[in-house]
Amino acid sequence: MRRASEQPVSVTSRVIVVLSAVALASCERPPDAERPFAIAFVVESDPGVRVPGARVFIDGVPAGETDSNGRVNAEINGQSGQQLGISHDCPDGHDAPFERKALRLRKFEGVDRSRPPTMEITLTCRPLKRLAAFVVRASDGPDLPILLDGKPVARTNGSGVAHFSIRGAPGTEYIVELETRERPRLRPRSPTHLFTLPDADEIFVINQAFDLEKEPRRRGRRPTRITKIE
Amino acid sequence: MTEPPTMLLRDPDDDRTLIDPRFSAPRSDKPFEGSGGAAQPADLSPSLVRLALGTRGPWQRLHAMLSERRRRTVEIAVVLALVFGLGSVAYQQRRAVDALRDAIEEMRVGSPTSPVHELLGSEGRERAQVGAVARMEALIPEVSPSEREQLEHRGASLIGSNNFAGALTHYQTLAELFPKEAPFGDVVTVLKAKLRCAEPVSSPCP
Repeated sequence: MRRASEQPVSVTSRVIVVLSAVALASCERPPDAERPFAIAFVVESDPGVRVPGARVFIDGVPAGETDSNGRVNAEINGQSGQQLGISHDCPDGHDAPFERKALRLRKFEGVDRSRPPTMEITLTCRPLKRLAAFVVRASDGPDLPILLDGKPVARTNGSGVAHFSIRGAPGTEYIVELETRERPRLRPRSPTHLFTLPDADEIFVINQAFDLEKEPRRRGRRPTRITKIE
Repeated sequence: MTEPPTMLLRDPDDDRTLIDPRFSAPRSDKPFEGSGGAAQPADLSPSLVRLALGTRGPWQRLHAMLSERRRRTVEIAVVLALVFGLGSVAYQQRRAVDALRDAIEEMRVGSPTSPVHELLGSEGRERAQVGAVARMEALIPEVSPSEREQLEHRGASLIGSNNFAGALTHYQTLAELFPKEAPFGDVVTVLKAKLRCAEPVSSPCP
């Protein structure tokens, strides 16, 4: 009686053993000692703006210089889990951050089996100067000289619109003046606007409305009265 | 001749049987009557029978209910269901992976672009735009001052209303029409950067 009741248990245990064996067989082998890792370094000044001519170093060893697309492709032989120090030099007009980036090598499988998976590392080269584009919209202010920090840079057209641009370090302050000396009846007189350049390229729009002051009415000369004093 | 005394062999399962004393109380009144007068199961109240059966495990009850052949059939059915289930999951996963791979391949071949990308344009698109502007230039040999004034006014209005996408195409035209005017080109550069930042896939801009 007991043997009959134990029989199904043994079948179940066999099934469990078989399933465990299948599960174990599906596990990966331990990683090999050393393998090649494909790494692409992308250098950007701003998101999506690639920087050519930047040099990339892996543990102090040059890995290459970025191409016109701001990219360097490198292959490193190392162990999975190994940590590497990444540094880079930026081209003229750009500033590289001081801290080094740490890269830990990780083995992973790509979805596309035809190509080996490539890790992509993005590095930054901040521009030392930023672009400031100014758009002036002066309603009722045609043909007015525009002064940037006291120097004439543009003139509004017939519809009161003017464009000019300048490059400067982030944080630079600009004073834009719409000079009305040539047209003294415009109010307000020579209005000024202050702008601070952020750490990004920026467009500054100056909306300025003018009023034309009415000419003072000329009163006719009163006829002189002759008063007889007795 | 005296009859050998009746020996009670306790079943190990009985040790684990818990009987509520309320139900067993009537039995205690009756003295043991030997083999002939032993209490029959029929004497037990139906609730006591239910309770006694309930104390067994569900598997044991199932065992008791099924014959050996049926038990084996059930076990084989369970194992087959497991194998088919796992196989079906593996098949579905494989199909999903294949579909994903195909989609990536299609993206690589077709490389569909987002509206902003379309606006920003690849090199080919930019060349096409330059070509279109060149044709426009050929058609309009010289832009009159009043026309330029209108174009500038329109561009400034687009920027003023934060329509950067519309302003970009407009200023691209202006930059092509007046290549010596650096501010138009600079406005195009800044607008491109702004639209790139507005794109959801790009990293946040400073």
